Amino acid sequence: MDALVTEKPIDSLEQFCASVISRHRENWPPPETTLAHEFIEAFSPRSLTNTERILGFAKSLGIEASLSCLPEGMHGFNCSNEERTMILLSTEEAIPGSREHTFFHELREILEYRFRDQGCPIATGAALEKRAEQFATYVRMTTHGQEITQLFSGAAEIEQAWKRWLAFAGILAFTVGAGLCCALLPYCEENLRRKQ
Amino acid sequence: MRGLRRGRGLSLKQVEREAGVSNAYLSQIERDLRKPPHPDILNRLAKVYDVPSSDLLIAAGYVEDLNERGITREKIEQAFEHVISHPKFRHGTRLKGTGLGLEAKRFIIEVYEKMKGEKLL
Repeated sequence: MDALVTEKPIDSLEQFCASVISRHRENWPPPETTLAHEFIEAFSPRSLTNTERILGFAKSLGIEASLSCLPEGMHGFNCSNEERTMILLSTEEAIPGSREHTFFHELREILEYRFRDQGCPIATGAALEKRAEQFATYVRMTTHGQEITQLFSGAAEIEQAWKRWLAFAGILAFTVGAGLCCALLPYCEENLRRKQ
Repeated sequence: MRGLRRGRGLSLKQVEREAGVSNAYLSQIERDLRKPPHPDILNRLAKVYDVPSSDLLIAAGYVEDLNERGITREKIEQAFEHVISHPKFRHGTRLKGTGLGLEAKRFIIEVYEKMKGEKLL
């Protein structure tokens, strides 16, 4: 962790991947949760609860992101060539949070291209899909958790005890709900697809 | 649209429930009083009417009829092979279920064409 703090600020995905490789070269590949944690440390994404936040965050990473009417069954799509990196997200969002989850999933795949370019691939095919899902879930849970911590701090300042405890109880219930939503989103989507 | 609905013995209210599209709006679409609906709505209606969504997208003018342009499944598969074998063009998707359908492959080819300025279809 100290190494993370003392390093120069990371300003691109390539640099981020290079720094991950240099830290974990001896024990490659790092667990997906470690990669996601280091990504959050490096880029400090807020919880991307609306589309503007998603598109703004993508822009800050040098990625052209937009909403698009994607073919049936496609939540998101990413592609890149030498000059451009793009993420297209479906205009349809059957479950709240699905677009944010898909964005981080696509982003993880883009990171994978950077790792490959630097000679350190982590996964391909189904294994990459699985890791991208883990990455998206971890990043969402963590970023939402950070915002919830701020809510707790705000609630702690309420003077009247009963109001303070009521606020704590409300935030706690919200925390449990948000955590379950993040963790179970892929399963909910799969169930919805089967029903359809 | 009306023919599709009636052919399946569905009332406007039933379609409203299943597709989540208001029956008043559906009625206007069926009478050509509104512009073609958004592709998302057409996708939902295609599920209810159990027809390929591409049929409705073509009818609404969002998508070209590939057969009219002589674009066959084989041609799409060939072009897709070209796209995935390109060393500098990387892509990925998050899908419901598994496997890329023909429509998805065609979409990826179109993105590739725009990015690379190369005509494949």
